[in-house]
Amino acid sequence: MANDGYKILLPTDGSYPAIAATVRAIEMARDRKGKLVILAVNERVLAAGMERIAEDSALMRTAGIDGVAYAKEMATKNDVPFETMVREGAVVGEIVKAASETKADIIVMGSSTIKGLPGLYLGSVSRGVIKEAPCDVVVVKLTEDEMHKAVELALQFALAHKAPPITNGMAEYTKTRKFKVGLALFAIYGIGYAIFTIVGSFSHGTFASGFLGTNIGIFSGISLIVVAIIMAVTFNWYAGKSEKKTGGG
Amino acid sequence: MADYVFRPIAFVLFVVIVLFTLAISVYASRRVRTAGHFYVAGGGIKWFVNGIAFAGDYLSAASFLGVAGLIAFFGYDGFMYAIGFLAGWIVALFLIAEPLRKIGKYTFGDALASKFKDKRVRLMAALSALVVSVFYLIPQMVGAGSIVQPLIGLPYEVGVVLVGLIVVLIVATAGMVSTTYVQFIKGFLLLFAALALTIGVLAYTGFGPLDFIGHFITNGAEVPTKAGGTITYTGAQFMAPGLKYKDPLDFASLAIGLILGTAALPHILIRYYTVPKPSDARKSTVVAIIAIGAFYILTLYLGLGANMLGTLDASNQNLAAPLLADKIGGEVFFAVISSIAFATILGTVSGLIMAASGAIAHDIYTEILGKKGDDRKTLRVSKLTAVAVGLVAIVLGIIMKEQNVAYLVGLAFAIAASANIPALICLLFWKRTTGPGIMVGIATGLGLSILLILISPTFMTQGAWFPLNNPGLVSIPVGFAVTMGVSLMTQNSEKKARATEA
Repeated sequence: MANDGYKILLPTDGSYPAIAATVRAIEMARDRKGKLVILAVNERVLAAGMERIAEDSALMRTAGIDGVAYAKEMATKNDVPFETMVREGAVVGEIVKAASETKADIIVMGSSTIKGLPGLYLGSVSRGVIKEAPCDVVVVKLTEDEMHKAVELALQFALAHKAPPITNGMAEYTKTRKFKVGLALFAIYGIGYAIFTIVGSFSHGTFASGFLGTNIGIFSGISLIVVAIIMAVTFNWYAGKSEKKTGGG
Repeated sequence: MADYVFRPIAFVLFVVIVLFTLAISVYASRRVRTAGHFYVAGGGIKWFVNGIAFAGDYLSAASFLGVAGLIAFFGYDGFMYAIGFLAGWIVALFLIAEPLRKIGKYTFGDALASKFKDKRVRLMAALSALVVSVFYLIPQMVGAGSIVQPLIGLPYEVGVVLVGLIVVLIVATAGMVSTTYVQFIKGFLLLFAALALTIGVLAYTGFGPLDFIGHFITNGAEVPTKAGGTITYTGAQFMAPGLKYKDPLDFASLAIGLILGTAALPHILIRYYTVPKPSDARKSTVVAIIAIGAFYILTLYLGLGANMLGTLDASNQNLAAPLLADKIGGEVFFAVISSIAFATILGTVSGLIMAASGAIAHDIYTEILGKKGDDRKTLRVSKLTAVAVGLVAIVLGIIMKEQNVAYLVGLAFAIAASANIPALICLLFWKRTTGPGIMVGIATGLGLSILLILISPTFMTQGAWFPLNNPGLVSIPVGFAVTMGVSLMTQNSEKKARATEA
């Protein structure tokens, strides 16, 4: 598999520019009888609520569609061979890394011109990729027509692929050993905290009596903090071990 | 009230540090996306950064200013906050976070809506998130106002308005500064500040860590009063419960509100799910618990240190830690500590406002009013909400002047626990829970806890109708009882609804 023809790396995040880039990349793959490598990069940014909305809006990721699923469907329709990759981390770094690992001949990606302050915060991914890439880079610039087309395609796709129904995994989860261990640890801590609260509420004298250079109140308070830390570390160790055994949590 | 004058060196340092923090945040958040090098993605550093970021999110100014202040003035009753704030993480880690992640839903509203198709359930959840956020914002505003006073010599109100305006400006123009690295920097700075101050206290007084606490147990403490006198407490009084919470049930009520509050705060759990791998999320939580636990043990030294060195302003308890820095390290140290506190308040306020207004825009605007599809409009709605929430927080922050920050946070925790914990626990662990049960339960918990606070001794200085300062002991069990009671009463209608759906 060292030399299987022309390889096109398509990083996609489901944004309109990425949808347009997908269309362009598939055209190119068909023309050159090449292969498509579809790449999704999960950013490890803890964005929540409005940050997410603001970012999605700035990056035109507004149709809320799965870029990889869309690219797969388009590739299948057009008989273009493809593989998919999912990476985690800094977007530019992961794209560049994927390009050198797959020995891609060209990277085809969308360009979102983010204006104003969001641009300052988010920076330009395409500019970063151009600077660092080991191969040619095509940055797809949208004409207004293409933009409308991309929006339409994306909306059609989004309508056809509604979010799958939610499965209630709770019943199985409460039966797992991991959950029971967590519950047991919680119960131990809860009982300790309850005793602490009751004694602290009704017997100030007990808390005030001397103990190991401090008094019982301060000692048990600090103990509750230290025990919480120890329990968290223990649980993490245990869960890590059980995940290794079962091959993922 | 003590007079505070304008101090040029402190002011310049303050401006420099706050701007520097903001600049690093912007640089770092940009770097995360566009870095060509792989250091951000490399190896095990990720969960560590995330963990400190969790801690940064949680350790607001409340913990730093408020808990230190409460310990300085009330001894053990203040330390109870430190214990309870950490205990909440045990509930979050073992009972709530992983199961919620398992059903694949990331916000309180989403989780409820996924099970109950009723739009009113989602509306109720969004409403509760909004109210809790506002109550959590109040102490942040009070903290900001308190700090600005001795630092720049400006009145308290100016500080509140200043924070409000900066945050509203950030949110309205860009609305995305509160990323991992902002929280990471925040958490790191707070830990650094607490550690530096603790070392300072021990070096200044010449005590060892244990002798220092022992000193208070044998010698007691003196606390200034607003009238200008001092009260002397014995060691048994000061280092045991009972100074702030005279009614025994008050202590119990606080304890239950604090341990159940953390998991019910809308802006804490949401961060747990933004880490893609479950094992990383758990590791991050453990790092956060270690960092937060260490921090709270240090607050004991900050509070007691402030008491021992007499850096107490009876009219504003929240200044114990900054004034302690002034005494130990002079104007520069004072400015550094205050600026760190101020910068962390900025981070907390903007993160909280963004989480809240995002929930409103997402839950109410797009889901309930059915305005799907146009994200630019959704963004505008969420920005407008953010501005409105910011303004409300400014007004309430000014009204709540002179209240202790940690005390106010304790109230916010109690409201969150009363409204959301019964719904969360029943949703996850009790199959017979119904939509109406959840709805009425949230409404009861929310309404009752706020009502009890309004008729508590905090607001009715004389002849309060409700004797406890913290409503948790009453409103949390009532919330559970109502949620379960209404669920049992509506079993049939729920079954019918499911049958027609299927």
